[in-house]
Amino acid sequence: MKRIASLAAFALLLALPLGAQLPAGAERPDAPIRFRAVDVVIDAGEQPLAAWQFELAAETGDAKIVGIEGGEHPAFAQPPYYDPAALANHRVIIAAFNTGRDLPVGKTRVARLHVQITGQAEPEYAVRLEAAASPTGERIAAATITLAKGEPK
Amino acid sequence: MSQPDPRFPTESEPEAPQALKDGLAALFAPGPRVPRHRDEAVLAEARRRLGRGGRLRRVVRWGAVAAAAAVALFAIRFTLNHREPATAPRATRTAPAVAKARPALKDDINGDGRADILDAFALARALDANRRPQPDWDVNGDGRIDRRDVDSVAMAAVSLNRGILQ
Repeated sequence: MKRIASLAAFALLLALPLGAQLPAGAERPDAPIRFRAVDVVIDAGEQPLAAWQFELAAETGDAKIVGIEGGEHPAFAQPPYYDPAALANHRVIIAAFNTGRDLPVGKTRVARLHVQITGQAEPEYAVRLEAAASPTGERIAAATITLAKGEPK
Repeated sequence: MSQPDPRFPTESEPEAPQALKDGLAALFAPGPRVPRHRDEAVLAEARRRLGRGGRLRRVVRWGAVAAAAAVALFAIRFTLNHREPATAPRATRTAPAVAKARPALKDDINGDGRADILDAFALARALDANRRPQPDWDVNGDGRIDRRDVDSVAMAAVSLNRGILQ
């Protein structure tokens, strides 16, 4: 019985410090929290950009999306479509379209994301342009998407 | 050699009473003889019981070892699972696009085989142009084809249940 008790005590001692660590998603009072804006820029080349959709995810680090703004051009200044569940999440799919005639050409910031970062690690983001279309609804195959990180606040 | 002490003459040594002698002799005398067959039966029963106890002890001992190992593995796995987002890319995000099942294409308004914002855009353009409505444009099923159907298609396109960067 002494041996069994010793084994159980050993297992408990091993498990306690490991299990006592907070999950990454939990609030850690000692971890620094900062906010950063991430600008999403689409370059549709010479064609006017009438519709777009992209998916963005924080691949590393503890990052939560806490706000989503529209873009710089009046055609996309209104908040875009996104799943509300994306807020407080690390991943989001964002999209917008405009049936008007005043549309951006070339590089344009289509959205600005506000991200809350917990901890020292700087998150790395993956972004994928899922759709970019001209005013006639034709896909713009040559369109590209890039991210620009703002200064932490 | 020591000399006998003249103060204690040996002849006057007191004798123990006979009853005491008999009692002491009976106390230390060998016990009654146990028949051989009974002795062997007791020994066999003892061996049987001790053997069973030994098996039980082994089961309990290895059970405890297995439980300790399970607790340790659970604790390690729990810790690694919750450390993962801060230290490493989520493994499922590297899954290829083909691994993600495409959503049902009921929202594929423009008929390009995909359900995305371009379907909402196509529906909005059709409404703006007053084109003849198609039955499958009533996406939200309210009996009318209007801007709310456009929003339904757009919201389906950005749902977190789809996408590949999961």
